[in-house]
Amino acid sequence: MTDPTDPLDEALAELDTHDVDHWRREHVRLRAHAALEAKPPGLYTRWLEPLLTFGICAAHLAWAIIRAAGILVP
Amino acid sequence: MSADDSDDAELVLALGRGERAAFDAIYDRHRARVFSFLLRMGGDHALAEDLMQETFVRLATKSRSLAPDTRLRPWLFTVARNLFFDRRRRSALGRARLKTLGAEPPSRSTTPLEAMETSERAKAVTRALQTLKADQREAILLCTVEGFSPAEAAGLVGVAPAAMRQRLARARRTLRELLERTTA
Repeated sequence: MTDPTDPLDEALAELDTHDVDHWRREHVRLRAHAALEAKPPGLYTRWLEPLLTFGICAAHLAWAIIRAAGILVP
Repeated sequence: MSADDSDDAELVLALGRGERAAFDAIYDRHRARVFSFLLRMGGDHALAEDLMQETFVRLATKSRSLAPDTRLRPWLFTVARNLFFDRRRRSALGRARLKTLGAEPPSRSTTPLEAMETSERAKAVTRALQTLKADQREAILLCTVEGFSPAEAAGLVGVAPAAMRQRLARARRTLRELLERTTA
């Protein structure tokens, strides 16, 4: 995709490759290692907790609507 | 299948087993290229560091769900560019909000990125790259600097190969004009 005789490609080829400093490099490595070794989410975190939250919220919303309707609708 | 692809397949399998050595091999091989790409996309050192971190932590998080035929370099660049554009969209919203409050942050005329380049020509290219539209800058960086083919870059960005070729041609034309103007 590049033509070494093209001045534009020549100029782009002169761009340096940069890297992060040592501290950041190792910090990211440690974070990634921790993520790599983290257990995959279990049944409770993956399904049960969201379902429970959804159920409670939906029930609460339904209760609020029924209460409001009870007051507003004669 | 190229040597790089079969190497990737082994690394992806090892990564799926949670092997640190596999992650380290990928990280040491691709980190600087991904970081340089992000640095040139945004012209912001701190942002590039953050996004590079997010890219590799995401690789570790998703290691168990990667398909065995995943090609790591395009995968990493796809995640990095998606994170970049996502962050850019959010910061654009933040800027719009600041503008309405009359407290727009001051624009910087020079970037530390230019100072990091060793040759004068590279400094000029860096300056010119920063004035290109983000999608054109991305096309130049992916196809010319990182060596992806236009078809690969198109897949990575999520556009048709013809659109990527057109974007690349336009970017090269604009960059050439900018550089000629600088040297004239």
